[in-house]
Amino acid sequence: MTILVAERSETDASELRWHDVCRPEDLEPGWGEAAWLDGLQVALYRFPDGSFYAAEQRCPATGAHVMARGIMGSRTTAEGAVHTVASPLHKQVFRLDDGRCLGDDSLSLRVFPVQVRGERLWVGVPR
Amino acid sequence: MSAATDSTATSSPAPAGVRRIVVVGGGPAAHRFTEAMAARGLEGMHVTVLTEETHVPYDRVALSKALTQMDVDLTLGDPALWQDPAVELVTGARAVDLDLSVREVLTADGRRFGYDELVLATGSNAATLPIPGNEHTHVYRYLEDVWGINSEVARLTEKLGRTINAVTIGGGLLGLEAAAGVQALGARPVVIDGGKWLMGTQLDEGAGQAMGRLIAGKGLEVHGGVFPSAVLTGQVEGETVVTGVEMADGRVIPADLVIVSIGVRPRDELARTLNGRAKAAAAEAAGVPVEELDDADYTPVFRMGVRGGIVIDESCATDVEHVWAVGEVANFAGMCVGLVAPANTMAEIVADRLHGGDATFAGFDTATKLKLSGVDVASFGDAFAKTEGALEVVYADPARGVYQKVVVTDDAKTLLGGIFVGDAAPYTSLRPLLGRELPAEPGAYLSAAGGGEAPETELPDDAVLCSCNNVTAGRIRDAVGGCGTCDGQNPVQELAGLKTCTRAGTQCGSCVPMLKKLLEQELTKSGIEVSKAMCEHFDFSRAELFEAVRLAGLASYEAVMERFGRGLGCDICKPAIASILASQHSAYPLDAGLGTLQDTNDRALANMQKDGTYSVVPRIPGGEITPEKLGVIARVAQKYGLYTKITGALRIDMFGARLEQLPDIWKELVEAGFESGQAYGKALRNVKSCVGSTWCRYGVQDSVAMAIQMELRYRGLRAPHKFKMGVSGCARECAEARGKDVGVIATADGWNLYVGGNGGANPAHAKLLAQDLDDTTLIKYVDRYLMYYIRTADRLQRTAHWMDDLDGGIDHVRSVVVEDSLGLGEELEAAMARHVENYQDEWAATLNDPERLRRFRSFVNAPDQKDESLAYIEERGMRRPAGPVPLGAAIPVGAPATALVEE
Repeated sequence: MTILVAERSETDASELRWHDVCRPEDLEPGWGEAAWLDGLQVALYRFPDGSFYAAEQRCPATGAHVMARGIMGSRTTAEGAVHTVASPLHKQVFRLDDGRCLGDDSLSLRVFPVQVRGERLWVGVPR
Repeated sequence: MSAATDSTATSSPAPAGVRRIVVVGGGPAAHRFTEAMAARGLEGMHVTVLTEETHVPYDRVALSKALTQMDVDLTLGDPALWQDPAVELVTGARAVDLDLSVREVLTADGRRFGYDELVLATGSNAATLPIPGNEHTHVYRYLEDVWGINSEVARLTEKLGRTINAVTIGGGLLGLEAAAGVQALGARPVVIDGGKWLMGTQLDEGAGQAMGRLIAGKGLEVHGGVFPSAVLTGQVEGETVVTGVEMADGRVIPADLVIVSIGVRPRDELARTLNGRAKAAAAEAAGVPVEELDDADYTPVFRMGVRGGIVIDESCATDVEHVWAVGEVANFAGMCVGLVAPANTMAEIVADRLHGGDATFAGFDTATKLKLSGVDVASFGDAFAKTEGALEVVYADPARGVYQKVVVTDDAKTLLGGIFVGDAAPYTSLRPLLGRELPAEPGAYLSAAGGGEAPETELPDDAVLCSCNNVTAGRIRDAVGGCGTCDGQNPVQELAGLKTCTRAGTQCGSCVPMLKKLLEQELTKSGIEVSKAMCEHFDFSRAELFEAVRLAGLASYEAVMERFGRGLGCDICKPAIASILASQHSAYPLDAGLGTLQDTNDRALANMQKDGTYSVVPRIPGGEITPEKLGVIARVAQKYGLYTKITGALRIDMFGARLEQLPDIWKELVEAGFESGQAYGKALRNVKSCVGSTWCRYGVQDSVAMAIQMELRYRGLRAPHKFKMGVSGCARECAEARGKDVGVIATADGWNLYVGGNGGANPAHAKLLAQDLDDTTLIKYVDRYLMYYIRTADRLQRTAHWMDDLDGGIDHVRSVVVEDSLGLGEELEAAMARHVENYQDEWAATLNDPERLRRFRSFVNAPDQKDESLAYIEERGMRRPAGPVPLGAAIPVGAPATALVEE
């Protein structure tokens, strides 16, 4: 079974390199964790509603590799409820669907598509 | 001789052709006048304010604040006023004479200021006592006076090494404020008053008796009905020191410091000088010595009041053309009044007149409300029922110290005035109704009589809500609705904005509750809900949620969310709920259901630094540490290459630990007997102490032992904000306990307990909560204080701010903690007992549990891989992050080549 959890429409799937990262249940709902993808640090999030997201571990505002350690949550936007993470350093809140920062248009977080393929969680990173 | 013969340089800052307006005096009346002039426009005018003080005009009504808080800023209004090119403030300029023939003011340093219009706003002087020893007393009038009293209390306390006796002569409004202030500074307050009862100007006998009883209950010693006859002094080490006050009946009251506050005298000497000169000229013309000239035989330049003051008419003009007088120096209808509201009104009237208006002064509004060490007092209108046929409706309960009186016309319909002592709640709603028909029976306003709530009434638009600044209810409604006088034409719907825009409530502040109520009424009317919601996921404030969670007995985030929340939560509500659950259940913060709620630092049980690494702070209770334990810290820091620094809280901070290193580091620390210092939590940080009586030759109590006991008792206690404590072994206060949320200072008889202090961005001095406590009572009060704070404060609200926000402030807290007025004492103590019982060291608990340790892996798919983006340089023998954390392309990430020290 393949569940497509989050995919950015502007990214051509053929340009992605998919990484087999861990089992979905290695992640605790609500508790972000970092993953090491051949030197690239990625933050992985599993929400209690069963959704998964991946973003760059590097905080766009400070450059420190900490995004997995932010508080996960939701915010209501004009387009409805979106999943979010707040940077643990200065608390900027980023949408996990497209990486936009709520409240500061100059910042954005790189987000990556996540797929659950069978018993494994995969993250696609642009080549 | 004419005063104008001196030919020193003439100051004339105004360009030719401009109307020169000179104000003599730099107090609140001068400020208000200048502000009112600027507000009306200064085209073709120039205002020069001559003040002998070195300060920009400040709020003298709030002078008592500066007694206990030396650094408080009392500057009146927006300082930008003094930057206006048409306004000039000349400080250090004391006016000594007027030359009416050429319209000039002369200052003590020989400068001359020409005027076209002159406004005398010289205010008053504190009256002094004509008794021996008066030169060794303090008065209570200027900032320098209260600063002097503050430093003198500190100096004498340190020098004498005991609580000092501070005697205030005069039991009026200011005298009682001064006495309450020195009490807050740790002195024993004594009040001497010649009258039969306190505050004789504002209170009738019944009210005065109730007041005396309440004041005595607050620890102020009052000697009434006797006048002082001498201030006694002695010589100690070549210094003259005050030793006591001798009374007319021969008693001697011990005193180390004496403050005289027996009223004010108008500073009308400029007018007197001119009158004296006119009298001398008349005597010379009549050929008699001046002292023999009858007052009826000459015409004074300025008419003066019997007890001083320059007489003004209803336009605030004096007898001399182009000379006006406003404020306390102005005598209207035979009276000078030392209150700010009439001074403001007069200032507005002169400004209006100078702009061609015809405003008139209708008479003094002498309404007074104040709060003295927790005693509510208010007096307004015809408080003594002097109006013919006036009826007094009174409720008096001397035992409780409550007195309430409403004065009405003979038909019991129109409100003429009132007095409230002990419970002044009805004052704020009654005050704007002065001179109007009451919406209900007068008896309904005597709230203490159990007559129920006074009827909720809509204030008429023309009712004056803020009398200091003469702001009507209608003006406030306009601002709330968006009258466009403020920035962007937007409605002003927050209290702070409303105060700035309308100036209501910015002076004495007594109308603020009414202002708040009016704002809420208006917002409700326009369908706007006044939201206290924490964030979009909860409709509750933190305090409401705390109570809801407690009453519903909820113990998990999921349960709280399901019952009261919506959505997935966020970085605001999640840590708040974690804190609430931790305060109520003392649960381990990283367990299932709680770990995901924790804020940055709690999540790792360490403090995240700018590069994403952590700092480690073991607890060092009271700052006491053995050489062996110091060695352990040194070895751990060396082994892991950590940067070490002594913190401001008597502890040692080790920086640069990576997430996955934290368990190894803590394993070594815990094995050596250390435990978490909770430097990461919204929790007790530390209890700072001085070395105390065990070593110090001045110490009177064992502050180290008390600090250690307190730190061990309250360690790990989660709260809405971090908090700190301090314990000092004597009045020298080396532990800086008054800069802490809970400060304990030793006295010869026990401990004084101070609360609500902090350092940081908005420093606050802690206020005295209770005095001379034994160990058990001290701990009991601290238990109650902390638990009450934890229950009722807003998120991220520190103790000082929390107390500011509470209705009644420190006095309310004292009633809850010391007098147990809410009957919560036992419950709060029991809650603290549960905390103490359930305390566990969070790091020891982490190390014992593999599930909990899992939270410290660096990468889910590579648990031992370190973050290779970290780079350090060496500085002063240790390492620190290499400048800004490197930016640039993130794929792939490797250690930058510039790193000098690599892990």
